[in-house]
Amino acid sequence: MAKRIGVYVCHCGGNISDTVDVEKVVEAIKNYPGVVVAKHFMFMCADAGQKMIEEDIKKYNLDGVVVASCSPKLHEMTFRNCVARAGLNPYLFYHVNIREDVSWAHSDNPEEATKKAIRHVKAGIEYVRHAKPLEKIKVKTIPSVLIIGGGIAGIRAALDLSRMGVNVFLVEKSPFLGGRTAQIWKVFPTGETGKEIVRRLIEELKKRDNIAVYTNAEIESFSGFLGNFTVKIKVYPRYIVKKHPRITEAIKKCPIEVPNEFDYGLTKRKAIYIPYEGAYPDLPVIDMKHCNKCGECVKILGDAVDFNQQPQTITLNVGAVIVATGFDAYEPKEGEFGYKKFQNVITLPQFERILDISNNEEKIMFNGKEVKSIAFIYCVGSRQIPTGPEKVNEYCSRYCCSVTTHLNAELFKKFKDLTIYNIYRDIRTYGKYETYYEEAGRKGAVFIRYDPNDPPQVCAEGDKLLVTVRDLLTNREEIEIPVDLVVLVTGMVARENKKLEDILKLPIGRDGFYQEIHPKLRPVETNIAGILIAGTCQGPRNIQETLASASAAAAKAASIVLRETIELEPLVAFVDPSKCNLSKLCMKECPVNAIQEKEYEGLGVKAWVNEALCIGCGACVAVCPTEAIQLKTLSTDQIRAMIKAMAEEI
Amino acid sequence: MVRTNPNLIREIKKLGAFDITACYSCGECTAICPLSENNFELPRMMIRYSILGLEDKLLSSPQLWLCYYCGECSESCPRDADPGALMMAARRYSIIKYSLGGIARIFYSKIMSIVSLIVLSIIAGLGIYLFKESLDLTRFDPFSLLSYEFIHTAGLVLAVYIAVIALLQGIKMYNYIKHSALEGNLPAGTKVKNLIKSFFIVLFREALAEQRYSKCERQSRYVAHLAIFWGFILLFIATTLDYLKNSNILGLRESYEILKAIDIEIFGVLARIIGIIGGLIGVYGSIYFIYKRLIKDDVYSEYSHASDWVFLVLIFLVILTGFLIDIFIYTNMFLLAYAMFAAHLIFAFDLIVTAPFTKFAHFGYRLIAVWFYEYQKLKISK
Amino acid sequence: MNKLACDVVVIGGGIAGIQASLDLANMNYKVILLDSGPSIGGKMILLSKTFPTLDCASCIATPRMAESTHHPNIKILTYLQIVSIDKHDSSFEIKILKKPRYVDESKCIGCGRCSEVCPVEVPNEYEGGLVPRKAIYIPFPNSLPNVALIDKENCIKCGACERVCPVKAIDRNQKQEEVLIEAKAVIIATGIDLIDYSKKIEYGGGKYVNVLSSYQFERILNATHPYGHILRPSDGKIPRNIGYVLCVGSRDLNWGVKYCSAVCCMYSIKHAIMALHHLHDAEITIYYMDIRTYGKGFEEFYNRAVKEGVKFVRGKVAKIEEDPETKDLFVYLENFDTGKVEIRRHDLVVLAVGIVPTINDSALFKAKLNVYGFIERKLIDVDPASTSIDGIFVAGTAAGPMDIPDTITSASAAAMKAALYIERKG
Repeated sequence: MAKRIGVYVCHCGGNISDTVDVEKVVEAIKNYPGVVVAKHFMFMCADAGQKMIEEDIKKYNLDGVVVASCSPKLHEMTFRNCVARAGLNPYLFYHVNIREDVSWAHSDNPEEATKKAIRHVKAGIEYVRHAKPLEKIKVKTIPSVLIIGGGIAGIRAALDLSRMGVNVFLVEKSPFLGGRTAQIWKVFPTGETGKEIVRRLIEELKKRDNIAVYTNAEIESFSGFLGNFTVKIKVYPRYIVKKHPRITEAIKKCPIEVPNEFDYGLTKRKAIYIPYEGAYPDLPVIDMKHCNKCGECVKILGDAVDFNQQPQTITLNVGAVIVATGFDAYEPKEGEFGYKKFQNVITLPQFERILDISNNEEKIMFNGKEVKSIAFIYCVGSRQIPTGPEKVNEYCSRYCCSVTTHLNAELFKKFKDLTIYNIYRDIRTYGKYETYYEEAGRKGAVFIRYDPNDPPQVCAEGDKLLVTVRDLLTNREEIEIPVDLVVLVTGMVARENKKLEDILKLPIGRDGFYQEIHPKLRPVETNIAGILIAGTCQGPRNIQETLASASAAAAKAASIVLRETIELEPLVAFVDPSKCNLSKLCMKECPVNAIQEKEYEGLGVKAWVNEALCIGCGACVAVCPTEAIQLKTLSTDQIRAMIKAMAEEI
Repeated sequence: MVRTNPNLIREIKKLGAFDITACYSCGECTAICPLSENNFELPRMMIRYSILGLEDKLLSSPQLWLCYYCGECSESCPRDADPGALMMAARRYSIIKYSLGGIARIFYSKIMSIVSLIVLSIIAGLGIYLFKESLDLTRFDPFSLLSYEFIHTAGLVLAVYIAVIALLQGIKMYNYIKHSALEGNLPAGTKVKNLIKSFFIVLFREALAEQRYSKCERQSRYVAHLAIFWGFILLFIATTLDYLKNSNILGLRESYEILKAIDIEIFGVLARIIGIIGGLIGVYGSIYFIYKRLIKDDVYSEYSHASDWVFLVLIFLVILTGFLIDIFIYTNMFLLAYAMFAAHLIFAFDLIVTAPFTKFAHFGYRLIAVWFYEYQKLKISK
Repeated sequence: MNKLACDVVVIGGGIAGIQASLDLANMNYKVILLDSGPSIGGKMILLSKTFPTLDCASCIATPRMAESTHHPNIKILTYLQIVSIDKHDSSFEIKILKKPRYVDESKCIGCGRCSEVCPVEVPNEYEGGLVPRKAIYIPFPNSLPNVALIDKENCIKCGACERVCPVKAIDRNQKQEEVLIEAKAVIIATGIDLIDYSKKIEYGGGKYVNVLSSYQFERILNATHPYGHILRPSDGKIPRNIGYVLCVGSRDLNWGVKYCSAVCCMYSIKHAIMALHHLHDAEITIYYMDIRTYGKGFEEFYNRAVKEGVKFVRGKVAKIEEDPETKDLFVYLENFDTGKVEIRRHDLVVLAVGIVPTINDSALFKAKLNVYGFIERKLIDVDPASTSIDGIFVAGTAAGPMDIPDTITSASAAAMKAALYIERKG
């Protein structure tokens, strides 16, 4: 039990001291039982503050430290490390939050806020008085990483990890890698095709021997803990089991034609298919939903086709997981800006496919007619304004302005006498992308600004379209724009992936995308230790940003799995076998099945906690009838003492 | 409801607004423009009309003519879109559109304008050749080149020509810009009063003093512009006086006692003095602009169009040849003086015939626009 | 000459450099982190709060700074100048010149008594020149290393500091010192500066006292605020009517830079929200062309500002004029809502000044720069941390304007690439 406690109250440069009278707090607790030193300081987290604590620990031979400052989320680790440097067990430290909980919450009432701060600090002192020294839990790590999603984010992360000597399992739901990037006509800033970018990444991937690629595969189950996860994946059959020189011929022979989803149905594919030339793996797949097993392909390919192939379940052991499942393009509602009502209203991804498919033509052709004028309508499915209880996409999709203005410039470069109208809300070509906006304008693109409360209307005029809009740049003049094609600049939406989200328990933000733990401190980590996120599953971003986040996630994964062991916080439950009467209530309550039965010497079979699995939620503590099970970092005794101290008169 | 037309900006771009589509509509040009005023904002709205292809809106905007191309908009433009050049190009476009049958188009092509000038000069030269009298080489007597009657008639024809075209084109322009009239109706009496009042404002402030121009930052340009205008006016007065002195019209003197008292020679002296002053400032003004357009050191002079040159060069040549006539008279080189006189007439003919279609036309359209604008201002000030 | 060796040299001790160093150090590489200034922390540590979460910048940056200082794999060198970077077959040789602080770093305890007695006052660059600092000073409250330095140019050699220093740390005879570092890879994280807005004569060119740069306003809003409250410099009155001018130098071919600075819209909205929290009934108007709230949670932040009463007026401010008597300001713009040219009065005008790269010696860094002076990323579409030189990587805003989350991500990516380069695996 700590007898020599140091208390440190932080000003947080005014964040706290503007409301809470920190000197009064120090005054109030400096004679509290057990307190041998109490101080206040401008920035406790600054090096000088930390040094002060370290010196005091040595000088006063402290056996407990309380810091009253910001949220422990921010600095608990900072101060734990600080006291550890001075030789004190880091768990003999308590972090009292008097900023978020006190000064910020009660900025209108400094007097009461100061009192509240005193109560909190006293509770903190009681915590430390009853705290026990603890050791971190050491776990062996498995030097492998699972990457979910075979788009460019997944491939980039796989390549980086593979080069660091980490084994990678790359799992892709669809039959081919490359994701959405491959669908893009021209990518900025280089003007390459999306396929070219994917091809370059795949070329590298082919050279690696420590990346196992599973396409047509899904995650089935997930268990374990940071450094040691067990994942079951289900690999669905491809029905083509090996390469064959006459594959192209076999595909040609297939009598079944269905719309090619890769081209949004603009082209057709067969039931046995490769969606585009150069797709990887370069092995076709048979789409059993449409195949009628006529056997035409078997005649050519022989035993390369195996209709009896069955789904396979594979168990993988990995130290970390990177989720890179990407995005979905927003699908406009029927009638939204004339979508699906008029044939020549299409979305940006569809337009990219049209341009890519007809890359060798000198004109833009759509439905057999030349397209000479285009209107892009921006912010379709993004920056939506809530009008009722229905959830809308309030966010900005970030990438569309740069992509579309870049596309403007590329179109002018390739096609002559084109007229392009951009009907926008704000052009958000941040950073160097501004040059695309400028170039588009300079080449003749017309920009028209619309009011989201009075959006443009699309109607037909002969075989053309007529867009009517009030232009905010021209004194709200109502103008009619006759065009051949309307392209809806659709944003990104979070991908439907309920099953995976449930299995991994992924945290989801308000916008539907996966939520990082902190956008600045830890932008690629989630609140589940060991699960990282990369690319557009986290939120809209462009290719460069996606690749950077993939490499960042790879760096985090590498720093987890490349250490032989990792240390976990001892924030776990433990059983006092002498008190346990094996009611087994705790086992029923545990959400992660961390409590088992175990033979204790001389005491018989009692409950036992697997520390590596325990998440420290405390559900077991609440149900234990004999108080035999306790959290190491927060015992019932501590809680009682803290409440008592808090309730004391000031 | 108005419909966009992508061809308008293509046309206007050909007339000099090369970078205008780079405009991202920030409004800096309009806020910085010393001539921009509420209800008559410029130049940004003109840019929008041009880019969107709202031709009627553009041609109905008196703002085009309220601009003197100070260049402050172009200098501060964050996109280097050169709004001033757009205003100039739009004015050129309007001159074509306001001109009868779009004939002014000729003067916006280099080749066509040179050809038409040659043709006009040949017509004038032929006229002089066909109607020439016998030259009196002992002294300089203009009527020994062309008879008084011929000059009189030709002058009358040209005056009628200018008047008719100016009237027709002015009406055409007015029919456009009247759509920009501000809301509100005034009693007939006030209307007339305002009309007269605004006319005098235009006459004294705008026509004679170009007061709006003086708001521009570059005062040297304002002075040069005013110099051309006043040089031209003074020379016109001098020519008229000289003509009066030499013409039979002064036979009227015989009929009226009071006129007899006037010494004829005073006309000559006055004509000389006014002519020299006018010539000097006219030469200064035209050389200033020719020089600026050659060295292209300023935003407004960076791009020059055929019509700018036609006007500038002709006015310069007219003044120059006028000077030379005098010089040759004083140096007793009468043959050369006659030659110069012929050249002077040819250039003056070219200048007058092309005036309604070249930059000269600015003068007329600007006065109408400013009159309209001053009238509208009086309307809302009430 | 001192010689040091490590795996990676990180140039620039801002948040990008710190993050890259920490990531590498956690992967067990030895890192030397260099900063030309007297403290690490870069621009971020000087900010008030960060968008869109409004958590305070020092709360995020300070622990990172402390962590990097204490990390066994990281050595930090500050107050220096890079002399040369040379690439040999498998290594880099970086020559630096450590500038004298005239204070012994190993002795100084950062008590600040020297500054208290120093009689010389000069404008404090860390506070945007709004308040003075002394000739001997600690740059800012949480600087690291937390030691003083003497600004030789302004020091009058009175000796007051020497007399009060409790640890006798002041050393006038300190000389500059050459250090040679051998490393296997280099990360450039040199960050950004503000555009020199005195070039914009129409905005007063820095002459009007009540026209502040966004950085100055950032400092005024900071928890350690120089004035203790939001006040306007001319008369110390609380401003009731603040005008905020966006795109000052950004997106401006006329006198600024061609690109968009990517952060100004968001920091301006942040300032407006923060100012509104301090000055409840103040009127805050943001003059904009396009509001670029493109990142995660940004649009929601913008909508919040609108709801809280921040006025957004579309129109680029063409010029600012000062009333010589009251020092009030008049901004000229075309207001797109009314279509009219308006002249609006404000007590205080803040300029959202754009950003430019700090690098001014391209030859020194070897890596190719793009036309704007940012480091050119060679394989931008497959590997955004790469530069034109193998083994030199770029992190954060040295590669172009970006916000803090993107900076941190790019720093981690650069760390990954540097590690891969050292391993030469692939």
